[in-house]
Amino acid sequence: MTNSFGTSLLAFLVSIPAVASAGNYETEIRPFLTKYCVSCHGPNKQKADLRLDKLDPDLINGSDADMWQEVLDLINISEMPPKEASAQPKRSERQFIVDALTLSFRQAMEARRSTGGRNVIRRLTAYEYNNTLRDLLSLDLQYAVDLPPEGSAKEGFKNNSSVLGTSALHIEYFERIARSALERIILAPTEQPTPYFVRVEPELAFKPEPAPVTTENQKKKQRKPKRRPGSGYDIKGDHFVPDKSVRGPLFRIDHGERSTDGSGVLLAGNRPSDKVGDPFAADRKIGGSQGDGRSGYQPEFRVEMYEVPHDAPVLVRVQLSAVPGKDDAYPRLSFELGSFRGANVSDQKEAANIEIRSTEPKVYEFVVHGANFPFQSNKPGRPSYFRIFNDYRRGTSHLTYEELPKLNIDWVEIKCNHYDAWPSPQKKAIFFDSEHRNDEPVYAREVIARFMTRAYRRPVSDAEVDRKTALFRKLRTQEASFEATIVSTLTAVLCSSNFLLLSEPEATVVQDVATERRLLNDYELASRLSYFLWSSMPDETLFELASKEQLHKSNVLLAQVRRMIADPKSEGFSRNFASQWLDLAGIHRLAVNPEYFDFKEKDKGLFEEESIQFVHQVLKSNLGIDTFIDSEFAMLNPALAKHYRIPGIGGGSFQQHAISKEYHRGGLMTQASMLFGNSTGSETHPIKRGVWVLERLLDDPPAPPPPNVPDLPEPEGKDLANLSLKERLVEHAQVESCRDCHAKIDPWGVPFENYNALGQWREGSSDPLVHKAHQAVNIDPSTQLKNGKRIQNLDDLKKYILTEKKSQFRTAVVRKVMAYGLGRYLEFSDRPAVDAICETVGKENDSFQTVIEQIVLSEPFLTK
Amino acid sequence: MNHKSWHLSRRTVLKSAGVSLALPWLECMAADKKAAPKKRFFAGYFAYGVPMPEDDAADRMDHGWFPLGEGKGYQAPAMHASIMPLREKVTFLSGLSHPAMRGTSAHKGADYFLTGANILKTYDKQSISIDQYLAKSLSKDTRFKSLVMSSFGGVNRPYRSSTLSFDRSGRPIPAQNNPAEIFRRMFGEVTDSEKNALASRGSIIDEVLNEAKDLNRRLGKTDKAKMDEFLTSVREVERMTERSVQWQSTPKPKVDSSKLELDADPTSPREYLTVMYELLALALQTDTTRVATFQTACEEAGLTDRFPSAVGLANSSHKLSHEKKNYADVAAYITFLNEMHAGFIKRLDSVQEEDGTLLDNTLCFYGCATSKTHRAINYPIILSGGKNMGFQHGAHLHYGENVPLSNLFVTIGNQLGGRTAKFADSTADITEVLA
Repeated sequence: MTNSFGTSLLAFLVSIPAVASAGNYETEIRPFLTKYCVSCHGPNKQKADLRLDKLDPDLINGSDADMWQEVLDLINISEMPPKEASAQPKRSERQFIVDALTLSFRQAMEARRSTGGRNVIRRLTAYEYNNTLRDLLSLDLQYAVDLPPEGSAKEGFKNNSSVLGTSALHIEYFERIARSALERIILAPTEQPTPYFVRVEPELAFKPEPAPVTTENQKKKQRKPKRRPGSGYDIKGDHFVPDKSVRGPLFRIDHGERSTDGSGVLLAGNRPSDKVGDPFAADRKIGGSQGDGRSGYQPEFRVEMYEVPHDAPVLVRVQLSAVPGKDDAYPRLSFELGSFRGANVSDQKEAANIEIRSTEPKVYEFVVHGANFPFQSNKPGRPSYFRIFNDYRRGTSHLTYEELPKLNIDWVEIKCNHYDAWPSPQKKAIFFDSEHRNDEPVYAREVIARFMTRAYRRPVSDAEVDRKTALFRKLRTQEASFEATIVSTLTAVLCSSNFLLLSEPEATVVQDVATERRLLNDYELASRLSYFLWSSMPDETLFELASKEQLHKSNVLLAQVRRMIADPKSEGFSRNFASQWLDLAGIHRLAVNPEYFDFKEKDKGLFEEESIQFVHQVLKSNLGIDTFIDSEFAMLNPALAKHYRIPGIGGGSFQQHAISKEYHRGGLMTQASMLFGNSTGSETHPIKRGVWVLERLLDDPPAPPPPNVPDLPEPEGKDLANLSLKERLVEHAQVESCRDCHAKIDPWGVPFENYNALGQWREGSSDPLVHKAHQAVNIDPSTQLKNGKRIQNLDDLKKYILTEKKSQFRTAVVRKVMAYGLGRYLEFSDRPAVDAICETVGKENDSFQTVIEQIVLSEPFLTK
Repeated sequence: MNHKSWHLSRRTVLKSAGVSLALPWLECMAADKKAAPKKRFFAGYFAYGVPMPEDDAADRMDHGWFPLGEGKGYQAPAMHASIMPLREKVTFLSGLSHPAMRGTSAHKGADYFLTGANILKTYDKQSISIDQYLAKSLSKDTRFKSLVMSSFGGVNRPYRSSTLSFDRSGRPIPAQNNPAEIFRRMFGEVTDSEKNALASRGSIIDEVLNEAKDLNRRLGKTDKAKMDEFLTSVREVERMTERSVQWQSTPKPKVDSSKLELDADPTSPREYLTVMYELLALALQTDTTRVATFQTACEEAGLTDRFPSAVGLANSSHKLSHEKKNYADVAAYITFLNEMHAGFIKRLDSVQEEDGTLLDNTLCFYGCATSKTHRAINYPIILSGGKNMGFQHGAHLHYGENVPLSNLFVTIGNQLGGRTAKFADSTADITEVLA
């Protein structure tokens, strides 16, 4: 092993670049300068005080890097040599020198940021910090919301050590967050808080009890709720409100249908947007007055509560059964917690959403934490509320009201201040049972040591515990109680560099030198694994394998990777990796132009979720990475199906749906996240889309544009002002200095022309999905790549990537996942590892799981 | 998932006079610190430059940014009407720039606006910004060393900075962008829990620092460089804690938050900028800090790029800045930004202190690092206030392209901080702004 490191390190050292390094300057750059520049900027003349033959060609250690940048820029935009100069370089010469200098700059930048191909100590990202506290304290709260917003590295990854700064403001917030979380758990009142309890029997809303009815008409009428929204029903039945002076809870129902046996209420799954008829009809907020859901009115089932304990766990129990609809459509139970902020102003968040298949009544239980919801009104006197829905959506499926699946709700119970046991399990996890419980100094040490072991993600030494017990002793005299002192001491643990930073220190003191590459120990490996696949700390299984020194064994590692992918926490990987790799944040940077589209801002969330769920599906189902380029399925929910004009999709959450060719969906490139995120918000933007493909899928980022060149030529004079975007692109490419770069970029974006700015399909000479004034288009997705390859449309481009560019695409995916897994830029010295992984992946049908497994087994991942 | 997406109704916008303060505290502070005159500094930044019709163009005075004519007799274009009532307390500067960055493409301006660093030469290595340079001496006696704000928040990334402020080692200082959090830090009630926390914080931070030093000893060279950042920040918190302890017995100034729209965010630019400027004014007025920076927008796609919606424009501010002919829209947008800034300056001038107005005791430096469409030369700059620190206004001063903006920083340093011979790439100082 030592040998191979030695070789790769040597290779790295030799590769350190500069303009001057080896032949580049002498053979490529100096001849150009001598021929075209030195007569004005040399020993005889120094126009603009510039002498090029004396510039230091060392871009890293020399002092002339900025001058070289200016030289590059001026040559690039053809300002130098000046038009009047007698010696003019040929286009190919100009391109050659620009490429050579650009490459030198890129290499210099890489050398500058180089970590020698080694992982560097790094802070937890905000989302990792949040998940880690969640798992460490077994309390799922939003811990990181007040931390300063975080940027991302050049390739988009937020976990890259170089962009994870730790400022004083961070430390200030880390201390504040830790203390408040620990106080919440440890300094909770001795007495268990009194619960607030409501039980709702919805048939109470239908009183008086229906008299026997005979005709169908009467039956129908009888089953309607008696009262309209806006009026509530005092809960007469079972409830307990701690403070008797406070107004009791209210139950409100509207547009529910009484179940046939009279014991509950049927909620049809229907949304304001779910109109029968044209499945792609525009949204309608409120339908007719029939109140049966047919008209598109949302059935409402709500419990309003005053002065409810909002900052505490909430238990929700519901007894219900499914009334399946046509074509195996099943209802979905969804509920949310919210509060009223004004007369018709409310804020709410969904707490659960599950499909119900049982036609027998069953009890479903949920526990959520009120603090994660807008459960407390910011206006005194306004109530909090609980609301329940059937979230089956008709979507594009054409079901009539009778055919819709319904939820038959027998009763609902809501219990705020819900604690199974007191003190809470979280508190008992910190103050565990011990024979030394009554011996304060001994017990304090035990409590601190146990907490530290999990917080530091490794065993702690006696010396480390000693320091914290010393702190405990020091604080004990000034703090109010034993428990309060533990809060402060554990706050110090959660502000520690051993908790906040992922570090892989040496066993002994190191002088100020680079250390030898070494294998990670099993605990370090456990952390790398869990932050890679879960964006959080290791679990007990990983800790146990580490303690037995089993984890590093290949077979154990592989088994763990598979277990971790199967665990729900692997969504942490899919969500964070997909967001950063595919730049899903781009969706939110862009606004939809209302002159072009009717579009609801919140639907952007669908675009983001589709791509995350798609990547997650590829991971979970162990599909091949070619699925990223093309797939015969899509991850859809009814709203997104409507956006894409795909009929027959009802239901609730995102699910895998087989998609026939006619809908032109498959792979990442046909997803609205990419297509919209790389549009202008009004029109398509072939350059942005092309750059996205090159950067994200092929890992071949084009050179940045030279300075003082606008995105596209500004329309000057009448002729240009009326040009379409694509025509302006053509104009742009006419400019000599732009042409060469754009010949490399634009053809990768043109095949997407069949997808409008919102990613909806269009063809021919009209796009009916935009507003009338902008419908006329001339769609031509055909293009020619710089290498001469003709591409007819996106299908063609996909085929091209999957055949002739397959190996480049595979390498790109491996490099992206690896950079994310390591939390650093990949470097020259990582190349042998990348090549080896690609070879194995190619043999294993390009499975995405294999990519992850092979990265975990690779030298860069296993070593420090 | 939102089932109903009602928008929260925006409360009435804050009145320009600002919110009321509990004065007794202020008086007692004044009595306390009578001897030392307060010197304060504010730096503000706006994105993407200004419209520049030719001098002979018909719309020169309607849509242009730069004043016509030099010296005291200059004519101010229409977009500056809002600040003209304070003409004698305001100076327009043109021609200045950071020479090293003149040739670069735009969008990087916020990175070096206050540092003057040549970040091309050093890749992204920064140097200290003028505000932090001043904070060292100006903010010895205040609760906070400085207040760093931007609409984006955080630091973003090199070349697209979302903060104007860089510390002594050139590290970006994350900017705060959430009005409610800024208010809580400065004026929020001190809870019992926070009082307890403060009592223990010194010992806790001490322990965190010592433990981090232990870890540092076991790190290799590359790790140490990164770890240094952690250590510096913990030391900084240590100093902040000492400061907080000194301030413990002094109650926080009582500011009534009910008139502040603390839940405003950049999706409603007018309300957001109003509350952010008001927080700046309050911070200076209450002597919570004496140094503040505010980057009103980041030169990167994002929410702040939609600020022109405040004046009913659908185009992004970036797109507007590329306009080369019809300047009406971009002028309307910059007028809006000018009004926001002028409102702040007037607000400072409305506060009477012992020896003049708050504006007389605050030097305000406001501008952008590009002029016409992304050209990183001839920065548009407004300097105002600071009369009691020797500044004199009422003119438009034009400088040649060879004068570094850092020369002005030398003057500012000399008047506000200690003796300053040089700042970044300065070649001299600029005395024309002094009385």
